[in-house]
Amino acid sequence: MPTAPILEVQSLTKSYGRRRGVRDVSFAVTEGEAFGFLGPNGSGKTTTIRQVMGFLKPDSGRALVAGLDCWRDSVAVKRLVGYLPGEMALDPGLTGGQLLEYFANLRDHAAGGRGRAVDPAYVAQLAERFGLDLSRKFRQYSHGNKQKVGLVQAFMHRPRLLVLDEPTSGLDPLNQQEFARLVRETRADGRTVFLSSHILSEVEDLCDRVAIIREGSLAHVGALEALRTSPDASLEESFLRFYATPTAEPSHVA
Amino acid sequence: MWLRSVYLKTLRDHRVGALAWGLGPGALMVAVLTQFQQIVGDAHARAALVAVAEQFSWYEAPVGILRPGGFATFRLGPMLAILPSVWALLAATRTMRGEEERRMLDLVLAAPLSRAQVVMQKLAALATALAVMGGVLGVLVWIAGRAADAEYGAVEALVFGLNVALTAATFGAIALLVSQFVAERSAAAGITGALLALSFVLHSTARISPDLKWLAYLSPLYYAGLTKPLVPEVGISPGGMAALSAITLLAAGAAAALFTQRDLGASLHLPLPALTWLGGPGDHAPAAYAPRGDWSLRAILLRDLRSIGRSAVWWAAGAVAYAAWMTAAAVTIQANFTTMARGSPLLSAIFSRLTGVEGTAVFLNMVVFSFVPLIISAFSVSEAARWAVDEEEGRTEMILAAPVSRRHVVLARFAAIGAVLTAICAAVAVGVLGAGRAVGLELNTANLAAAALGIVPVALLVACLGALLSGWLRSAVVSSLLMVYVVVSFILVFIGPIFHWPRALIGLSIYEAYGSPLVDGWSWPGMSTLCGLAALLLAAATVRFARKDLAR
Repeated sequence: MPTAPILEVQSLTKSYGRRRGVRDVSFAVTEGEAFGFLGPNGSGKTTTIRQVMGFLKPDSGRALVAGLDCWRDSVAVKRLVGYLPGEMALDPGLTGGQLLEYFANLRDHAAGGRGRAVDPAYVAQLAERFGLDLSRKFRQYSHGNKQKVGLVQAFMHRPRLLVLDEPTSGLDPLNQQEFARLVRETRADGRTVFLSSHILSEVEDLCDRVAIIREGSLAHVGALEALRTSPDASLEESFLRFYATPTAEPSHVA
Repeated sequence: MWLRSVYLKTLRDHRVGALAWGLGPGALMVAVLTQFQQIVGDAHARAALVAVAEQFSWYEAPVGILRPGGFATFRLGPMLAILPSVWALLAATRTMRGEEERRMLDLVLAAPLSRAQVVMQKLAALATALAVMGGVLGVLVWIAGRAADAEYGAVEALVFGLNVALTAATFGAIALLVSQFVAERSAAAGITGALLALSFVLHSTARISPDLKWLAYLSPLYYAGLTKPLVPEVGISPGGMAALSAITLLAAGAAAALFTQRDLGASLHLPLPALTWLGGPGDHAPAAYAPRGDWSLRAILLRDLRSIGRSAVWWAAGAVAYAAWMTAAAVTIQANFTTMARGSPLLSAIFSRLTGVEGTAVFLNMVVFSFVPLIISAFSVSEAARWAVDEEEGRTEMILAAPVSRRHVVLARFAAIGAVLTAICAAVAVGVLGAGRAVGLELNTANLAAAALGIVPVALLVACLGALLSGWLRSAVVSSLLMVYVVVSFILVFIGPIFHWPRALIGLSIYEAYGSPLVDGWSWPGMSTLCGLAALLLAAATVRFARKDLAR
């Protein structure tokens, strides 16, 4: 059973002037688990993820990946991480194949003398699994196909930690299943998946534990099942009730 | 109120630009008109002004230049035809191809509106914005005219503003038409910018070469120049304004018709085989993943080089065409100087610096190496704005999700723009040298290299300033601020010395430190100042980018 934390978020706080950001958010994700990150729109999920990726500097607190500070050691952190943003924006004039080649080259260069970071055969296999036509320019792709480019890009270097923001947004049911298979294979490989999603069934199906963030503060960390208000209540009902009810302190359930 | 229709929303997008481009050129006209009397004080000054103006007839016909309206038209007319046109072509490409590129038009067209309705409302909004710009300009010209005791009235001043707006509308409409044939906004803006430069070259060629007078008919700037409402001898040309209106309506109508017929987000195909290497892969890219070893995908620097290269080709074409043409025309103009100087001791004294080998350098420095740095600085502004857009739209974030440092990203951008600027400036030098050799002009090659390469630190300084501002201010604000600084800098050195503006004020211009390298050679103090400032700003931009939150 894996125990070492691959991702630790410690008292992370970020504000945007008068606008709310996140306040004193803490949780840890152990290596090898799939961890769900849930919350209503505007609750602070993306702000937390962007601090983990080193795109935003925390006002206080810190995020660590494999013990490395996400802001100070961001380059080393990103060697270990595969990232899919909530909104994909890439050079519209390049084809899917060129975009993947470009990101593979950036990772290969960063690997220095340690060989190739990205195996072209694995990239081809991932693209094939998602049925992605790589000959089209990014601007010509549908939303779902853009998402597939992002997914292949995130998985292609077999990262230790995958940070995925709304990964199945725009995917058809077949590709959602393919994504779920990929996540299970990743976990079986001992690697970690941190995913933000609004789709409860997906989180329930894929994740061991979840963190729920509401109005910038953490409301719950632990098993999704622990939110069930009564044995008869559906998880969705319980979850919606939890979303709507303010809590002073986050509940931590192992 | 602003969000009630596509028309009002588009007008809202351009309201600041319309006011700024009315107020800026208007302020320039006020400065020239109110200081007119200081320039033409005595008979000697008037004679010299007439003689010199004759030699600049390639730039503007010197009619009625001893009166305020004529002088202001001669001094600023062509500039006021060109600068607002640059704004108009940028605004036009942003409002159609730019919104299409960002898929913003998808949602607008999802509303129960036909494409024709959307495009007509957008065109009407652009026309209104240009009319506001022309109106503001006209009012300022009228007020300044009254202060300068000029001979024109309110109607003439307003027609002057209207003619400037109509000229800008023509290039805006051409930009819309070009936008139908290219997939990217920057390419549409670059091509139209090159056409604007070509229009100036054609018009100027026709002015000094009677045998080539027919070339002028191909230039919209010719029809703009037919109307000079501030000069009573010329007045308003209904034919000229009708021609401009016709070109505008034809281009805008064709653009609207093509837009309603083609796929949204797609472009109509024009065969441009020589430029396919700039546009990325053709239709033969493989469907499966197979790295092709494309040079531009190997590193951030190379990717940046290719991205900049697409638009740089058009900017370079415009700059080289202008520089080469002016160099070729220098022989004719210098011959005129010599002939005039022979007949008059006064003119001989005036033209002594403009004849002979040294005179060629003075002349070319004045007409080539004062305008080309402005063109290349405008290119830097467009690149700096692109960095801001990349950050706003999340493309920078995707690059930084790879294991590369922020410092690496900033320095790669600067290495790329530095290399491209050097290539453009080298092309300008080769163009001037080649045109000079073709017409038998002797040029000091060391000084020519200094003049061309000296533009690089000037343009880099602009880019560094843009990098410092991008991600902090919105992309539209970054490009507007930079463009205003570039234009004000140009005006400071272009007319500041004539009006004896304080040295400290002129010293604020980035072009002051550039100096006159074609005449004086490489200026170490000036270039060191520029390079030092650029390095300082680059360091500040790098540190700031490394420490700041990424904008989104």
